[in-house]
Amino acid sequence: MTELGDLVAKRYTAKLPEDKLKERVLKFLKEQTMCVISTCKDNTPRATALEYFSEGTTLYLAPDPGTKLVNLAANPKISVAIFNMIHPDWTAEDWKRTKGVQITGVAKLLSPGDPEYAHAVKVYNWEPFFKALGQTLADGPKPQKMIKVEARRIEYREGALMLEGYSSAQVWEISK
Amino acid sequence: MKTQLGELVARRSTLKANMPASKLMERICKFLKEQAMCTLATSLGDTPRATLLEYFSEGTTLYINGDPGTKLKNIQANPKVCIAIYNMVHPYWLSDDWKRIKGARVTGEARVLDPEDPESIRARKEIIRWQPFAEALGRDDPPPGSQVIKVEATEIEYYEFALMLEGYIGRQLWQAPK
Repeated sequence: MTELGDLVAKRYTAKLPEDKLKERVLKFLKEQTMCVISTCKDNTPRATALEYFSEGTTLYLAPDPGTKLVNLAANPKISVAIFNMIHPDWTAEDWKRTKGVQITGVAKLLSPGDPEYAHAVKVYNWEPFFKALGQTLADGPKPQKMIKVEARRIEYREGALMLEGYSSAQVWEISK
Repeated sequence: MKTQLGELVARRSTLKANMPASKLMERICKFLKEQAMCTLATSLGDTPRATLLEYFSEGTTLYINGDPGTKLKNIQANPKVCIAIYNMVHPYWLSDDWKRIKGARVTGEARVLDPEDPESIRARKEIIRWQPFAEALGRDDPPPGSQVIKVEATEIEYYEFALMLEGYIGRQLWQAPK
């Protein structure tokens, strides 16, 4: 038996204490920068990779125009996946390091003039990208819409939780 | 201050829109082989679901070993899927990471294969490398309960800023022959 095999065979179901789960999720959201949003309309799903910035369990995204915005204008339901490893090597114990979340939530499209848009633009850290383009925040182009994702449910996965006797999948239900 | 990326983006209109199809196909297949993780978007009714999964490619077809869950239920009811794949979880724009960042969006139809289906058997024998994870679990067979999802691409959007250095725009589109 391997360490992972042993742990999986134990089928841990224990929940992390809520404050600990919150702390882990919020820390993870701050550590990562890329997410994939899933939107849908007319029974057709769409996956879009985007940079995000978080404030608590809220994510802010700066999208280019496209299908995702058409979808979200018609249907605000959104699912977001975030993970930390591009090439996990299972035989090198990367299962102890992989973490991921699935956020189920509602997206709001924010327009310039909306106070929430101004706030979103502040939370979103444009500077590195504008600098790479040789522009400043002031003269850089701003998106016509910002996306605000309000999480309703966060599924958090971390293999290493099993080392502490907890289920590797934890759920945080967020009350409105 | 002008940067290389800023200059390329500024003269975007002078860049060629389409790479030769064979070259694009080659890049896409190479990229799909290099990467290991994808985010699968499925939907049922008006509810979307994004799921992170390991995948294995053969040309423009992706194979995924999926555990039971929302994604399988969704696919069985609605085979339309969309998949995002990228190669950097932490792009740092102030370095030259923009020259290395690549991504693909695969739009297609998915099928959950029965474990006895010859296609499933062949995929597990020839394409899906289930062995590393099984080895970590101390097993010599694929994890029980997992099923093979086959995704046939109808369209792939390929993103690479560095294409601009070769005179092409950074977004290229491949469509399956009808």
